[in-house]
Amino acid sequence: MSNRISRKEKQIRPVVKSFNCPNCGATLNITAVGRTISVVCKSCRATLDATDPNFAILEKNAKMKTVTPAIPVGSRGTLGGKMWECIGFMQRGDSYGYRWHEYLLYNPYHGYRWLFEFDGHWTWFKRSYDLPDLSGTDVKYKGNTYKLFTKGTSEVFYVEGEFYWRVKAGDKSKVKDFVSAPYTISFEASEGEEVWTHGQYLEPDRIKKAFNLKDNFFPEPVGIAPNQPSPHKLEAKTALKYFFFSAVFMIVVHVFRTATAINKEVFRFSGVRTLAPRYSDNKTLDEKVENTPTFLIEKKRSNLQLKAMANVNNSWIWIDPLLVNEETGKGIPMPVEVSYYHGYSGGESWSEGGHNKSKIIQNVPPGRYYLSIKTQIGGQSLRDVNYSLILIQDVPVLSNLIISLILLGIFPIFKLMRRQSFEVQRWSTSDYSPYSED
Amino acid sequence: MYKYICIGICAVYTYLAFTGRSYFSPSPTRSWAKKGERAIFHK
Repeated sequence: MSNRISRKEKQIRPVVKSFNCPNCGATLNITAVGRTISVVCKSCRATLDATDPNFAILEKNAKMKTVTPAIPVGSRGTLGGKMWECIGFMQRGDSYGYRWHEYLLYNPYHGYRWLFEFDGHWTWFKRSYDLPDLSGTDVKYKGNTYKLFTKGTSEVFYVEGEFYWRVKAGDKSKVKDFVSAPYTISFEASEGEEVWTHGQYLEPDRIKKAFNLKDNFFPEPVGIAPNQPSPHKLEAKTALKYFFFSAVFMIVVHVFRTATAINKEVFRFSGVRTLAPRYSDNKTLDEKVENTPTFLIEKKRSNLQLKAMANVNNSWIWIDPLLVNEETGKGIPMPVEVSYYHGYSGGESWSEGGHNKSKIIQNVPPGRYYLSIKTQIGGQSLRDVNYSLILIQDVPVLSNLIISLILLGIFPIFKLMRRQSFEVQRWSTSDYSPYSED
Repeated sequence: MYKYICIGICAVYTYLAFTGRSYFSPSPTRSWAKKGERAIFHK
């Protein structure tokens, strides 16, 4: 909404009607001449009939407790590119002790608007002549679904200025508020009249600036308003969008990489790890070393997966193959332990470990290699252990994809949690919270 | 900022995928044994 005012509006010289309060003699003005139905005297708080030539007293309101409005009646401000004058102010509330403030704004070209303030949060209201679609507890209005937030009876506690209906302290009406942040839609019924108004949340600073208000009586926002837009909603949506596109990209890369990987078995070795007689006392570790025939790793630098299998049984085998380049004599250690334990205790059978183990060594250059295998065995029931080793060149690494997706997901999950927390807090004052456990 | 985190993670993942490296596998360049160590000894 632009705050620019048209030249036409700048030239507004509203017709103001002045008269004296028949109750206290104070000079009063009527800004919306011909539209105002009742006027509340700013001095004695008497409600006067603006349609009566003698301004008959409708209610004296002598016991009404004075409330200072944040926007003084009679002040002007620019909102949405239009100049508005605050011509009326009310404090209303409910039986639970909640109090809110309503400011009636007037522009001779654009009619009436309402500014609603509760706990320092502001909503801009306009009367709606399009009735919302009532279905169940929620309503639908111009494509949006509004959820029921409050329902009850409101009462006028304080009133000041002029209004287009007869208003006095003690007036009661049935109200229902539905929200779809930053919008809200309100229903009000009193004395045979039913009114729907549509509102939009406005930042408090905007009101302050528009009416040039000082800090003295301007309320600071407290908590979260029913229709306050969530600062986390857009952030969470954006984060999810980026997560989605990144995840799709990485999955495509993974599929491509899997399809084009060499993924070829380059060597297979089977061996038997026997116990040396002198070490077969169930406690001492025994070590043995053997070298394998050579094999070729072709084409390019790539990773190398070692798969180790052993028929361990309540025992373990430590296999420490050194991948030795025949030409250079340099070796890459690829140690791996295979262990398997099982038993029966406490009425249940248990097991841990397994007969297979796998590991990946990265960035292995091509060349002719052999394995220099050192093995150790140990455990409760020692016996000869058969083991096999398989080497596979250039395997796709799924764990990279999983870890990357987890890293990517941390931020959106954090944002979603913040958004959820904001919504839970928003609905904490409602009897109709979708987050309630009742 | 999250946009750049995504770009960074995608770039790292692509590098790992096409070089056959992984986040946690040891790099053989760090673990090359000295020439002639155990292999030569047992030859």
